[in-house]
Amino acid sequence: MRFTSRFLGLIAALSLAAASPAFAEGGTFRSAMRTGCIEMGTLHTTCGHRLDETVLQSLVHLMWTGQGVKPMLAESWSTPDSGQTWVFKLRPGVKWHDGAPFTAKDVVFSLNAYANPKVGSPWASKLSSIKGYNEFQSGAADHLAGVSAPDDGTVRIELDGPKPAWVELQLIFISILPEHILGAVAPQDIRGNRFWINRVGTGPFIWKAYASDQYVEVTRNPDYFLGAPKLDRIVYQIYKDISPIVSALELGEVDAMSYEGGGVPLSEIPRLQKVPSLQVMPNMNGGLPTYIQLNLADPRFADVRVRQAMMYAIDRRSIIETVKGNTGELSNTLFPQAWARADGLEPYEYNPDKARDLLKQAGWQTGKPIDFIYYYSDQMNVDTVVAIQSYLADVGIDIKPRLLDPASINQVYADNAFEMGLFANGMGLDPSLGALVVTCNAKPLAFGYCNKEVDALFERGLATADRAERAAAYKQASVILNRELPKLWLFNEVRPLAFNKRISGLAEHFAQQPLLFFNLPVYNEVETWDVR
Amino acid sequence: MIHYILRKLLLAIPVLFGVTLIVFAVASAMPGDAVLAMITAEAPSSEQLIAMRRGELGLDQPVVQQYLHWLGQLLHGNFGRSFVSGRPVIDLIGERLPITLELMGVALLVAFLLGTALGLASALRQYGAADYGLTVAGLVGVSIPDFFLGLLLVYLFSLELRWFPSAGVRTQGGAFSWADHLRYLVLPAASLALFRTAIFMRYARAGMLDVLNQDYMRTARAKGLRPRLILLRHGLRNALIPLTTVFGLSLPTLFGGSVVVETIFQWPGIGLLFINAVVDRDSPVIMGYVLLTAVIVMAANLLTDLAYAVLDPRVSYG
Repeated sequence: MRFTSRFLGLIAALSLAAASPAFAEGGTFRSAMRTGCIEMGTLHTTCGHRLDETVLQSLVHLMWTGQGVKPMLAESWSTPDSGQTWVFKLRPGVKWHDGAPFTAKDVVFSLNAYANPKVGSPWASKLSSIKGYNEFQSGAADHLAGVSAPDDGTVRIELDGPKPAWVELQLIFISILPEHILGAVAPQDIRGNRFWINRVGTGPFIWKAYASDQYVEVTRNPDYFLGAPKLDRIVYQIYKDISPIVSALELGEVDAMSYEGGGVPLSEIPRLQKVPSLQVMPNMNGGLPTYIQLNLADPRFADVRVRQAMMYAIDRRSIIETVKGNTGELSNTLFPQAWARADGLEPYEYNPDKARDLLKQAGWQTGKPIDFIYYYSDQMNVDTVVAIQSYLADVGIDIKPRLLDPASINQVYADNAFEMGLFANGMGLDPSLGALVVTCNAKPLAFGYCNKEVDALFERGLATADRAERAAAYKQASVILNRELPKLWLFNEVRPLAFNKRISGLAEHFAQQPLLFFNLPVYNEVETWDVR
Repeated sequence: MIHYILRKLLLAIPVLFGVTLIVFAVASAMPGDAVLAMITAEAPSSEQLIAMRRGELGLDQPVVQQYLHWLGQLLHGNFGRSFVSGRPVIDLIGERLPITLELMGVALLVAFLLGTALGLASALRQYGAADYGLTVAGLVGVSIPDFFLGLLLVYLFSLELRWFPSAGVRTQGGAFSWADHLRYLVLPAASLALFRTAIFMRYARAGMLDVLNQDYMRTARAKGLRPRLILLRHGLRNALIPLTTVFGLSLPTLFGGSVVVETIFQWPGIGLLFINAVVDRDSPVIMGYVLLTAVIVMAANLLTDLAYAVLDPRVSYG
């Protein structure tokens, strides 16, 4: 039909005419970001913190090597009393992107905003060591008593006790917000404020444009205090799923992927490795201990012999070799950091006969199937769950796996209906983050586990900044956790990543990162990156 | 005719009421709510915080009360604010609707024009090679799901041939350009168009065959009219009647968008907004989307009925 052929001709002409790809421009770095991270803002979201590396900033940022912190808005700091009081000297001459001067007022405002119960930030707990935090949270006080500004260039923070590692472990989560913009907003309105889709910060890049579910564009800040960035701009392209991100990497439509929310799936790694412009890191340590959670209040799981039996019943080595393509490592305790683990932990080598024995001793009855929930839906995870199910069935433990989304999972917790499940915890930053899942007060994630000795060891770990002393405390804790099995330790996972070689500085810095740090800004010298 | 339209409009009100009630009930029955959807292991929220957020959003009230509150707001012209971002629902939908309309509109238009043309060709050459070929192609088109086709097209035309980009609406950042934007439109529109083209083709073919065998067609030929005139004026116009039904039924998807295709191609339309809202348990956005779709469905049905009256003089509404 004439119309048909004319129409097809039009399509062909259009595509040929616009055939030159507009992707390779000078000076632009394109990074993939997952959906749902922008509009909720830094105070309320657990992702999107790459924007807190480039637009907003903290007093100090974690170094990409994981060792120490880089002074950002704080030029220097000191503690006259071994970690209970901290005095920060702020960097002079820093201006917000709209020209207003950065002062101590912004820091005091920001800390109070994070801790304000009316603002409702889930990051408030990072400030729980500050004097007056409990009073502020309960409503007895209307601000943090422990935070004050003796002058425009100095901030004084008093903690409730000596916490030598407080700056490196807690303060790094807090981004500094402009008091001259958000100070006038009522606390409960900060969350939905338009500021988050048009941010004003102090960082190396200035917020330029935002299109919902499409991208955030930021451009170079020539007055940046560490030197004007070499890149012209960064475009954070927003994706809902991992699959389009992988295709985009292959085509050069993005240069980097966000590592929060998933890495390159195992099956796609060979394909990406064939692309000459990509640097693939298949063994990037995710800092992600993966384990099976059990509700210890459930009488079926209360006997440690049952939990030991489950460990002996699952052939973790085999799962790593087959399902996980030989990536990641076996784990026998909580901490992904090698320095926090003792030697000589019980390895729980695969032994189904021993498992059956232990179950018989404990008087295990195969009753109704156990409700087993999990969250990650990628093929590798699904296969892992299937493998676990079959190993457990082999020794007489019947589980029924269910894939649930976060809201449903939290509902199960809230209903106290949790039985068993597979989870991974992003705690690459520091072993102290493990307190979120194995200490007596950790609700609901401790699921009934309470060992005062472990609690005390976690306290000891934060009472000093000396690596050797901290290691001693965590190593002891690792032994107890290995023996008592509040969780069934499985693996420390990798999160494969891929980067485009055209950005100098990108892959190099990630290669030097010992593991991935989730949900907080990381200083990786982005102002020095450039297009080759 | 006026009575007919008025009757339909009046009937719409209880139907809309019923639809929103049912959807609200089902959405509230989903496990978890907006506050629970936001909790993660890395930043666990205290019970106090959860209770406070629930109170702010009105989630601690009984479901019936929440529904009445939403309805009351609606009757004042307020569609509420997203539980997640706090932005007005009407803004969110208004932002995203045009981009969905563009994608679905192009797909539907292509499908209608191409499908009708191919269907006519098929009917005119009944039992010929072209007819059999198109019938098979039609069967294939109807059987392939649009998301599978989408992934296939991305693999072939994006990754292998590098003719088109893999996702998005345009090269992000920088100034907008139509040429750039059209390149991004091709693959998602093609994924959506194939199925619909096949449907239109089958209906056009059937409708045309039906008409070709009518007596008045033979009369027209006997009168000596030119073949093209017979085909278009007497044939096509009548064959369009069943096509109108199909087109009218497709109109709601114009506004509802395709959740799957928008996810694959990261097309920031209303379908993507909806699926994100469902995962986040963002009730106001879910209800806004449902209300919009319900209104469109009813409007589309009404328009289709009216179109019959125009096309077919035998039809009249009392």
